Amino acid sequence: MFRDFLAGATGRLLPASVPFRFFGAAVIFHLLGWATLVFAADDLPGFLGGPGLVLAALHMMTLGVAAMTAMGAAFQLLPVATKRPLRSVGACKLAFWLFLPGLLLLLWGMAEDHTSAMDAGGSLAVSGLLLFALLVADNLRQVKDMRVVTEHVWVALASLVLLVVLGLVLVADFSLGFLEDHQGVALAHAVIAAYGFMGMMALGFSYILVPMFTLAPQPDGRLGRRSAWLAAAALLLSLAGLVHGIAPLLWLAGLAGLGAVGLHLWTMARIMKGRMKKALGDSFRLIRLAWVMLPLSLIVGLAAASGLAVDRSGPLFGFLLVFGWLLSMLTGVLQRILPFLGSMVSVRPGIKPVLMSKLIAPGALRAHMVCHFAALALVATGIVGAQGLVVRLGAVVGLAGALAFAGFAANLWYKLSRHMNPRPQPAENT
Amino acid sequence: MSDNTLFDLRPLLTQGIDPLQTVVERARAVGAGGALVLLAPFNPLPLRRVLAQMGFSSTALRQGDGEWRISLLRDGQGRVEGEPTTEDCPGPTDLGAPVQRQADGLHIDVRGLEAPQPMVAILRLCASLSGDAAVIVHHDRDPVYLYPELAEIGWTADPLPGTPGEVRLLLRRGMT
Repeated sequence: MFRDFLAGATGRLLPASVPFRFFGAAVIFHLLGWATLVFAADDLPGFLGGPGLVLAALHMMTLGVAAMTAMGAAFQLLPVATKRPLRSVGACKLAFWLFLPGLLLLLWGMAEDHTSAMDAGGSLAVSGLLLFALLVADNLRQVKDMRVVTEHVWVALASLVLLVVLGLVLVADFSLGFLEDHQGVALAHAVIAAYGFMGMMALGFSYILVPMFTLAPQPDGRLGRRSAWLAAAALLLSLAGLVHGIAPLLWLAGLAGLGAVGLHLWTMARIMKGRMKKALGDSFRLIRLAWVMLPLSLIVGLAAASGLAVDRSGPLFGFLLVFGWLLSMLTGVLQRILPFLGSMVSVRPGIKPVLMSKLIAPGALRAHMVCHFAALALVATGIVGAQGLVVRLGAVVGLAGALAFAGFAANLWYKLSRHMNPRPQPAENT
Repeated sequence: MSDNTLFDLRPLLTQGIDPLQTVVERARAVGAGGALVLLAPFNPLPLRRVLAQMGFSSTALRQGDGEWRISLLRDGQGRVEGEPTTEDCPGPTDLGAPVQRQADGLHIDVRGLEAPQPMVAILRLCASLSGDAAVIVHHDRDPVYLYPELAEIGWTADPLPGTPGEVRLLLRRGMT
């Protein structure tokens, strides 16, 4: 039976505490990100960069939610998929303990415009990210198969190195002021971070997770690999275009990006068409929303690059990219991964595994999804209409959704703990 | 055809040595458009799938009892021709893994497949079966991600003895 057999298998798994610490942090930063946006609502319309609450809120979502989730998922998924263990579990934990305090300090520095805090926090967070990159690169180094996934992850890791360099340059520029075009470099940093590092991780792992969640046959990997190469070309073009201020390069980058996204979505559509599971639940409503938001963000980004109402298209681009594409995708994936991991780690000798369906709180997840859709619509409307009040209303709705999502995670943790540590039955006649 | 292109696996197998690594090393030395021929006592599908990932298309020809000739061409296509079909077996026909009906149940061989295809193929097969069907899985690793999904659809897994390097599982519905 499961309990007898898996007693050995669990020993070969990454300790559950490793991915769960990253995912737990992501859930908390999700709350903090929306909460910060409530206070920063008036500044979001017309925001074109610079320290403050808006910048802090954006980084809570990108580094706090997206990077945390990407790190947790990579540490959990890669060793199983590549059949190679990570070099050191301790190093995975160290990456977290460098990244988390560094991120907190960086966020505080951004919110308070405190340069030293940004310098110190950024350096610590970067150390954690680079340690993560080294561990993943070491794991992927000798993998010859799964090329569609590994090529995406290699592009993501290269993007991580680039975004770290750009991020450190930006932080140094806050105090030294040596950049001629701080805003261009900041935009390049944002694009490489969101589309390059976190985006390529999300796209690459989709080739494992989407067939796994939907029980679909494996798609032709060649289209996915072409998508990765095209995306890499788009990232390089956008970097050159933004840093040197060359608009035609940005157009080329946008078109290459749209081509890459088109190939990816075509492959995802083929997977969905061939799937065996028909009812996919709210998680896939969020994932589908993300699939709409990804090309939409590129189109709005192209509009901003061509100078069309930059004070509105610029912030809208950033919002659709971070909250629309990344956040929708990652909260959809977390809804599926958390119960899955919970069930997997619940196997202990003498204890039946807890079913995934018992770890889901459907009401909380439905509330999160509804709030997320409504929040996106409200905040986007507020940005376009330059209405801080509407943005604030959207952020409050988003915060309510984040609270519901945190409720789902807390409920899962509680049920899992109860399952793993059942209360002793009172003895009879006592 | 030079000696380097012909490799008889039978002596290694007779000695109980897994020839996978040796074959992969020989295959690495074969350039684009090059060929390799293997002689084996059975149709080595998992090995052919591994070589397919290196760009080799292969065909298998049974030449007699216990003698198979596997012709490999490095054409970059990676086709594995003559995969056993799932005809006469219940379940989807596009599992991407051979299914064979034997006296003890349905056997599915997912060795050599990339993640997550082993898990997807097994779950799709289980989900398509009704009654007290038994499925015997031939895997090349302990499929730790499979168990939560199996439990969710009411199936359990028990280990069975397998060949060296193989993880063999007996899957049954509704056993606790």
